[in-house]
Amino acid sequence: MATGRRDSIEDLIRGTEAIIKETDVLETAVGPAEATRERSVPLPEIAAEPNTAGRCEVRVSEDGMGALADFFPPSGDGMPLELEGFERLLEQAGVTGGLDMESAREAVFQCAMERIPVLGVVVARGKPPEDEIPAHLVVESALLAPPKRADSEKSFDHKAYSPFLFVKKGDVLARMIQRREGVMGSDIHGTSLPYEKRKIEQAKPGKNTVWAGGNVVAERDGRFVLQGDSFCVNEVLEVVGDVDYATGHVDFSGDVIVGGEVKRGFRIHAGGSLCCAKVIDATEVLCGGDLVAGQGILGRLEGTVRAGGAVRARFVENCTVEAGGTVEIQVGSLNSTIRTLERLVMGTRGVIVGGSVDALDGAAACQIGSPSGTRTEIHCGVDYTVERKLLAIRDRNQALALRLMQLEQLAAGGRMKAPQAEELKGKLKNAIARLNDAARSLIGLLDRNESAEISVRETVHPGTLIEICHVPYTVTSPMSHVRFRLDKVKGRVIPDKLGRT
Amino acid sequence: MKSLLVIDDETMILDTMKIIFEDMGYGVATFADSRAGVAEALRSDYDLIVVDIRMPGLNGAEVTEMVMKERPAARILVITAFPNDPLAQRALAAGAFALLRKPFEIAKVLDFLKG
Repeated sequence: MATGRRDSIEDLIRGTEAIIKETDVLETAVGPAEATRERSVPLPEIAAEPNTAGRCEVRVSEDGMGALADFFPPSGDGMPLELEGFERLLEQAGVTGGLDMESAREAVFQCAMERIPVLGVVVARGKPPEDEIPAHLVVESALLAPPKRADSEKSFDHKAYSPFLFVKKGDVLARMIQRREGVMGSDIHGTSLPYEKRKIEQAKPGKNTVWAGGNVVAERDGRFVLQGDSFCVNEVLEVVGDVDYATGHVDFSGDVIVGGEVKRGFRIHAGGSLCCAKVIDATEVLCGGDLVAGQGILGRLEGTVRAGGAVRARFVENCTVEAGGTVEIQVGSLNSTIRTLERLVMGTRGVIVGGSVDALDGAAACQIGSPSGTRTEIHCGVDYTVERKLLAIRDRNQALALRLMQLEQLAAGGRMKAPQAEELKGKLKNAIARLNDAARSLIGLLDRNESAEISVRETVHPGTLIEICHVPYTVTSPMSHVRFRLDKVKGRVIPDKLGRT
Repeated sequence: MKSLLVIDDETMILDTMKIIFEDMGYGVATFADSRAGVAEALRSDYDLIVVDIRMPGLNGAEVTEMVMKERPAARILVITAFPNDPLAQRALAAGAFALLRKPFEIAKVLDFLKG
């Protein structure tokens, strides 16, 4: 350490000597006359301080809601600024309202006594108007907090985690906030400023809610649901154990909570959401709201799960899952068909192996495909419901066209009377034309999100097909930390390096 | 607690099966090295052994033969992409009692564990 310091001092000395030498060389080149002339320049004489009076500058903001003043002390034998002089200045600037004379007085005093400039003193403030707020309902803040989420790396503990907000009969759901009168404002010139009537989005109480004491309360025990600006309480059916021969199929208009498993062969239809603590061995599961599978969803190649809202599961295997909302799978989507009108989000170590994904707003996974080349397809940017309708139209059109051809053959062979054949042909052609119109109107809705992206935190393996808005990209060699996006100008899917965060 | 041994050279499959079955309350041991997997199968009792058919080192048929020779009561499932694969048939002949379709058939494994 000591040697290092000595070295650096010696370096410093050497460096300094070198600079001095360079300076000497430079001085020699410039010549002695230059150096002498520079040194012989006389110092300027210090001018005597003139006698000026103290003064003030007032600045008024553009919106007329504030005025600042800078106070300058006198010099020499000049007279200091007095408050009366400052008031005259304000008057000249048209500042008549919202005056803060106390601040001005202090600034004038300080400036005169200490003989220093006092700058940026707020000497007048306008008073903004206060909006009139109509009486309105406000949902209780505790009900607006997002439900606790399961840790992506830990086992699902149904007791510790519920995606639902439960309320008891009589619980306050929303409070009425009384109307607040508007208050006129005024600027620093004394001009009155009118208030406005604020528009408030009213929370609308729905089913199983009732007014009580100016508030809206739950009319029964259930799950609190807030959708857009309306809220309600959903009935809840709780199955303590498994859905099996003891319960039969479940068909319920509200939410369904299953404490155990949904056994193979049993159907669940829930008008609201469905939460199953263990495995859903899905035969047919339909729910209008969100679906949560604590341990996972098995489909055995035949099972179908449809949710109007989001779907969350530890894994999905050999199953078709369709969701109106985001699909979150922690561990793996294994040989399954996942369709969502939002995003597919895999957990920290989540893999997509086999099967296909249709995600309108894109997908994110840790790995896609497998080293053994399992065929895996990821389609993004496309509304799968529109695609399905178009396929149905195509099939129907093919059937109608075939029928038309058969009809023409019958008519040509004289096996059908011409007027009757013409009438039927007309009907068929009309139906085909209507279907074609419907298809045309749907086409524009098909590729809905050209910004959809697919990101892979670790590896995407060969055997994976990436498609964004029907533009394909086949993965032919393993790629790591990659994001696929659509280059609209080139009309190609481009893989970018994914930034590590 | 029932236990499962998985022998497969694809670590992604091992990791995924381990998480899924441990979630469900099963004890899971995994081996990417087939020889080490055989040693473990002979050392401890497992309710079910799942073996990939195509692996470097020992293949799934050889693993089945070695395990069944020492532990004839072992229950072995063989993972294969092709059910007609001669190696898969050899594993069945050696005592494996069912084939699983590659890459996953969690439901089937679960059925065998529960059964």
